[in-house]
Amino acid sequence: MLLRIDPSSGVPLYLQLSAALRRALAEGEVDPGDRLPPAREMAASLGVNMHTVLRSYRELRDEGLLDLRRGRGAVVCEGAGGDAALRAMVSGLAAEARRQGRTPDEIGAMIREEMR
Amino acid sequence: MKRLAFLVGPGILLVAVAVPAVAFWGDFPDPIAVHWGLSGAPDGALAPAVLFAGLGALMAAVWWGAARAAARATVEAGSYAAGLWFVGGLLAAVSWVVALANRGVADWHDAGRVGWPAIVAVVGGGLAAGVLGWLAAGGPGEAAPPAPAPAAKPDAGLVWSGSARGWVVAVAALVVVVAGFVQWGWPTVVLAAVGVVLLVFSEVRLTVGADGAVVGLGPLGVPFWKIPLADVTGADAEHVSPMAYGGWGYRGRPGVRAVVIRGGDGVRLRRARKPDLIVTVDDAERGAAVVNALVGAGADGGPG
Repeated sequence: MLLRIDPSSGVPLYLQLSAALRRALAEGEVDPGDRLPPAREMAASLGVNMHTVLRSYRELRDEGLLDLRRGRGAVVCEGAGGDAALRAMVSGLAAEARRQGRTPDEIGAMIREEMR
Repeated sequence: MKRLAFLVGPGILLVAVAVPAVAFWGDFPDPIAVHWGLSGAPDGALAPAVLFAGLGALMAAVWWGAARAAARATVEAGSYAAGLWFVGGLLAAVSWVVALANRGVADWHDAGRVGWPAIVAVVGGGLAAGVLGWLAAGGPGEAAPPAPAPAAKPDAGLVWSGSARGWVVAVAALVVVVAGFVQWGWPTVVLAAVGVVLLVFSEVRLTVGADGAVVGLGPLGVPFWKIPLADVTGADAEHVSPMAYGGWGYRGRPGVRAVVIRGGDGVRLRRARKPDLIVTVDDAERGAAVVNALVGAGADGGPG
């Protein structure tokens, strides 16, 4: 599993890690059923607090991408791959929409038109 | 070099195993003495055909295994040759000791005594052959070229994690624990403890980030330890064979420590003033490349 974060960026590390993991899922770098390294090991390799990594893992769990179980580590959920690809695209679209000052309804209308 | 170490040498050793059997065949009793007690008197016998065929078959099997493993390995040929020649020398010495002790006697009970000199000869023969084999293969071998850095700009934000599971060790752990319950008692506790140790060595992860390389063992992530990136000078991907390290688990050889969970790809972390550390993980090529990129980024951008 290869991730890319930017230590010089001002974005909090846990957000960067979440984004990098989402991207890894979308690109098939990580497959459903794969286990991510335990938070403590990931944190040690980055030289950060374990809770920083856990925060990111929990975020992905709340999005239905990760299954966090005590003693079993972080397992990528079934079907996370495809969903993650869409989520990554939607999150990019949302960012651009926000930048252009569009409302969710406007974007929704565009998607509906596109998918008709 | 490889022809001598894996073809000519083992061939000569196999002949050396067979020669006493062929040369003295008519002089043997049947069965022949094959085992000697502490007093030096023979206390076990076998048909000569079984013994010498067994020795020959063992030699042939080790020869085949070592040659096959060495063909796939790049840097460990010396170890395979040493192991193969060691076994060959040992078997040849055993063959000669047994043949000479049994030569010209009517019954295996009358076979010559075998004591310390014979044991020294057997072990010495094995060790001498092992050293010769190591030299024949060209000694420690050449280091593999360092893995190239990823095509993208090397930077300090790369994170890579690879893992490997060892089915051999996991199955062994299960067998050991189950065996403990055949009869309840203190062996149960001992075998359960052995099972836990084996389970720890059934899985390994290597996670590499800006701060260091973390080696984690076992499905639960306990124990794990960290090698600060500052101590790492570079990394290579290489083929690791449990045979070259004397088995599975945490292994040491001069200049190298290895966490061997299964045969196959592994990452070798080169360290400045400490032995190299090899960890068997999948996707080792990329892992080594990421380590090299991180080390490069640290050297370029960081203060130290």
